Amino acid sequence: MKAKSWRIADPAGGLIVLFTLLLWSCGGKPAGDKTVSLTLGAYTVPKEAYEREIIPAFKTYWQEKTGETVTFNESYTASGAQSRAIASGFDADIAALSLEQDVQRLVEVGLVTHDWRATQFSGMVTRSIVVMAYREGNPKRITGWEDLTRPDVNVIYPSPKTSGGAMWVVNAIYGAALKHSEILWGEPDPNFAYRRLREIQSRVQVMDKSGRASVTTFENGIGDVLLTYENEVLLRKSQGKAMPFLVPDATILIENPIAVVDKNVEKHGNRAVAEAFVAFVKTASAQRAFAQYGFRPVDPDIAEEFLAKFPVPKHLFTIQDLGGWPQVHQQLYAQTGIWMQIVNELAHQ
Amino acid sequence: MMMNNTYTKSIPIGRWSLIAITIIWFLLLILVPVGGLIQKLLASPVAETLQGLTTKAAVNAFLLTIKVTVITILINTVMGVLMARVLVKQNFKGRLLIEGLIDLPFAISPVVAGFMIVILFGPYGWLGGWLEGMGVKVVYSVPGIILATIFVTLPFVAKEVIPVYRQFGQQSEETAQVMGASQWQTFWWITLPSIKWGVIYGVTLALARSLGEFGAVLVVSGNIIGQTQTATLYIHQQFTDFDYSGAYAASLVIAMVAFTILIVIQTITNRHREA
Amino acid sequence: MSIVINNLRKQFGHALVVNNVSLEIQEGELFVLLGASGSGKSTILRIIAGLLEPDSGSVTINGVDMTHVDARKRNVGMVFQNYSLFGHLTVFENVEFGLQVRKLPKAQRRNRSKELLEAVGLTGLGHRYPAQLSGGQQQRVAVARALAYNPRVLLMDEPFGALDVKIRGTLRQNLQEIQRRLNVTTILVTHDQEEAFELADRIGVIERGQLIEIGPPDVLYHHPKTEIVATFIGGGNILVGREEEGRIRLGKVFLPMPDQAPLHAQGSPVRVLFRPETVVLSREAFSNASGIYPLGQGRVLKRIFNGPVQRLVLEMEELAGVRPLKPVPRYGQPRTRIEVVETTTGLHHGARFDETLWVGVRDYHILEPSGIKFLVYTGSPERNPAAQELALHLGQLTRGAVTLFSVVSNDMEMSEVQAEMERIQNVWQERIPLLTTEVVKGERHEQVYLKTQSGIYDILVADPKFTGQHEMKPALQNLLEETLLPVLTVSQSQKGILHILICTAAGEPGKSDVQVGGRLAMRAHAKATVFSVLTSPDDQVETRRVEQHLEQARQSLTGLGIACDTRLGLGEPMAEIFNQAAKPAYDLVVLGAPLPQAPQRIHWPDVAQRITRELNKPVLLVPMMTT
Repeated sequence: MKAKSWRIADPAGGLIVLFTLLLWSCGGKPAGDKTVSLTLGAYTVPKEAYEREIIPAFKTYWQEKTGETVTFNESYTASGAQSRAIASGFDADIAALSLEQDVQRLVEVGLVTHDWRATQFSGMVTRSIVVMAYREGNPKRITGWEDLTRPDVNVIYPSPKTSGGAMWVVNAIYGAALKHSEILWGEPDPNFAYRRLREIQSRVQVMDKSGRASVTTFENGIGDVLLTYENEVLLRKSQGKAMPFLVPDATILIENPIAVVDKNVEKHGNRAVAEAFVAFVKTASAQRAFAQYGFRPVDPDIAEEFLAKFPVPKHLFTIQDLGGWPQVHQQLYAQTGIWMQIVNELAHQ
Repeated sequence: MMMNNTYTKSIPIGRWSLIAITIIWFLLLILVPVGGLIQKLLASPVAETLQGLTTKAAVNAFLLTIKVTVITILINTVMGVLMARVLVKQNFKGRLLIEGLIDLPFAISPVVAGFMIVILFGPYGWLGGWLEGMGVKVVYSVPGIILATIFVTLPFVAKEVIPVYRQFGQQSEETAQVMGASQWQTFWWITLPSIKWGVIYGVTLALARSLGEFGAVLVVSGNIIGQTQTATLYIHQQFTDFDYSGAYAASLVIAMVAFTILIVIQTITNRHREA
Repeated sequence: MSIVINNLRKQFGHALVVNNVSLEIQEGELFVLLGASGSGKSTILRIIAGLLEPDSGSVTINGVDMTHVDARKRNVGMVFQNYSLFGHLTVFENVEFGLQVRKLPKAQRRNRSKELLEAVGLTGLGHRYPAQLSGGQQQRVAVARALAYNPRVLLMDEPFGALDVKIRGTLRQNLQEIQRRLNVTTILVTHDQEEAFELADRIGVIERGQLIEIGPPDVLYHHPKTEIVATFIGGGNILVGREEEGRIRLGKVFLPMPDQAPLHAQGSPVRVLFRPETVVLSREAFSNASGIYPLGQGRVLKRIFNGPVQRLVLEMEELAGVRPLKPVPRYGQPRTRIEVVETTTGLHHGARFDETLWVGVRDYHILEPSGIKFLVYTGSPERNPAAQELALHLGQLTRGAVTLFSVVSNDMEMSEVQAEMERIQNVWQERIPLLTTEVVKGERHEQVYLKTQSGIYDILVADPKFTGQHEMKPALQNLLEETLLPVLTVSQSQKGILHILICTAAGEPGKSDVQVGGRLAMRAHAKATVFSVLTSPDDQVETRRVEQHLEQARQSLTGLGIACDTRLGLGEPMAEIFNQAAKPAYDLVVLGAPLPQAPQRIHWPDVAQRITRELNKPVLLVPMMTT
């Protein structure tokens, strides 16, 4: 029984098998006539929207328009990780990320060479806002930002240290506080904002590493209030896991960029398709599709259509209102930044 | 009859509690969580589960995992045996150092390993740039995944084979040598059979590990759905998409596959032992 | 001529495992390499097999130089010590392995293996696995396997070692039959002398890497040349008598010197070997016509009954001038003892305990003469003729062998020193027949060390400066530890020695200091004084111990025929020893040097240094080991 199986008298055969396997592993490129391939490197949040609506719609569109079949390679990872992956060689033709600085990184390494901000809608494809979700029946009677400073309220949101998108949340807290102080005393008061931020941060039980993760944590029963993006809450609702939420009167406008990665499309020779796709996602039908999935359209006309679904907060502000990303970064998230200091202080208590 | 009674009565309490503790430990750590997984799965309708498992993304993920695992195991087995042979037979400076370094993949976090591979083989990396110039894509492509998996499972085969080789291999090889066998003949007919068990154990461990590898692959693969998304990455993706049932189902499939393989190997080795 | 080995040398690290071995083995011969563990015999076998390459020398098989040929091409069959059967193959497959490698078709292989299994008596076990066989069966499979492909040579490494005594006999016979039938040249390596005798056509005795003697079993048994072979093989009695007018004086009696005995100088010691079974015991004196050489009378000390034979140990009457070599005399034993083996045909015919009987021998054999072998290191830059001179004088005095050994560092020095050596040789050759000289190039300490390993030397003579410019202690210590040879350090030349001082301590391990000192004194016909120091005179137990020790030493030395007295010192050992050594009567001081692991009562390097430097007397440092 035993010995025979080992007498493979021809070791060369074994080597041949090995090499064949290695070659197989390299994965052949589909040699198609009239097929073009497009690689999308996106962040996790819009996956359903792209996968189920946008991409199939684009495929049909392109097929009809040029007769070419487009095959998509899609990758959805956290925005920062995806940006770094593309920067270190992941050859995405299109980068659809959560923060403009994640796209800016690609400009810095020379992968994106055109002025992407000059494209339609300033290079953005979707919008959202920071909202507050709470428990069924609102037992803690959450009505606005001030309630989050109450000692009996536990707050959940993702950590800006690990999730770039989480910075939106803290920006919202800070900006809303500035707005409130402006309303109350005529001028935005940074001290007030600092105190508000500190108080809310001290109510934070858990800071997860991503927006999704904090939603999961909240759903698992932790915390009284979840600060997250509106599209997340709406996505959960569409999946049958609705949670009550409110749109604060003062909150920040989140905008997500999309850009063609020049170096890669030159390498692949599919610039036409790539640029068409970027244009496509900004068309009315695509914007409507995004709206279905809980994303606020960048197209103002379509935004009008969905006003009921997406009410505009009274005191909506943008990152520009806060001074732009570099300043916000310096002010809040640098080592000497306000938020960082608060977190360190609270940790040492 | 009298003997039976005295026998069972005489097993001491101490030993029973030891057995009990061991079984409870095993249950808590292994069976209960897996049971929980199965229970969650049974909560959703079967049709939905099946549909989730048969999507293109899912199927491709499983296939990719299998492909990567098979190739990794083959390469690691060959290289592991080769390394063992060189380390045991040749006496060169730095031999002990290399033998010690074989354990390095254990000490490095898989994520760090993934980064190392990206740095080295990425398009802007030392080797990567040169390879890409020749049209060979390593990182963010399947070869990168294989490389990452090979790295983390490298020590298994080598470490199992080396002691067995030292013990049995050399003497048998000398005997075969005197009897006129060539290097190849000796290796195939004599050495390999005598180190068989070391190889099998090493392969078993490497197999289990490579089925479940996540961290390194996450960094290195680019997570391209349907192309560079292994089963573990797929499960992670489903989880973050709130598709829990999809995640559970896929997890269970992988667990079943690993379990089956391990049982098969165990049966074969047991049958061999008894023979 | 089937196998020729020429000047084989193999060194492992510091140890010279095979030292200049040359052999010629005839076709079809069953040659046995007999030696103790570690003697190098297995290494020689492995070199012949091709598993090891020698450092120098050659191996020729059937006229073809195989020294550097890979083992696989030599077509030899080998049976390893633990058989080394392939566990995953059946018996058939094991035996057929060699044939499979030689690409014989399956049917033929099977036929052949069946044939062989039948020849070794294992018919029907072909389909079993080695793990299912007994030790004896496994061994036979190993033999069958080795013979399967008709090798030119069969090599066997202690093939019967792991087996029960009962099976060994049968298997030996079996092997011998097969070997004779196939007429395959066989080399068998073993430490079992019985086995060697039973199987060998010729035996080669290996000791410490050197081939001591070769010959058929009966020749080696009855007429060995060296003491080593004589004592290795079989029991034996060796008594040392003296040459006198062409005859051998052994106590009161004279034995004729056989014609074929090796040449002995006048008055020199003669070593007489007689086997226990050639001793004849009688209750009456032997008549002249009996053809038995009488030795004297002896008393039965021990009697071991073994069925058909019984072994006896007799204590002989006073045999003046006779030194027993074997059985090795115990420390303090006053008289010669001999071993006897006699048949017990009816108990009342055998000797009884405590009986005094007349002892004679039927036959005896003379071993080659031996004397003290001096290895003299005379090297530059500390070329001090003192050591050389004393050694040469001692060599002449003790009728021993002297090897002058010199180490140089370059070729120019080499020729210089060689010339000098030649000169010395010419001057001294007559006086010392066993004088040899040698000059090598290399590192001093290493070369001296190697040299001590390469021969059987008794004393190493060196100038104290050899042991290091100022650091006498560590170098000397290392030398003693490594070579385990007594070292004689000489700073001033002397023409001979008349009176030796042996400083010994009770309680130190071994008695080598007294034994070596005594031997030197005896050979040099010098007087000896045994000296010991009592540190606490009030301690009764200690005093008794030291006194007893001295008395035993004196007895042993007197037994060797040396005029000996004892002295006791009181107080601090080092000072006492020095003071004693300073006395003008003594020409040479013997000190025991216990190895580091043993308890040390004095710091002997210091004492040695002082004596050599300040008193200018030679010091013989003897490494003390428990034997």
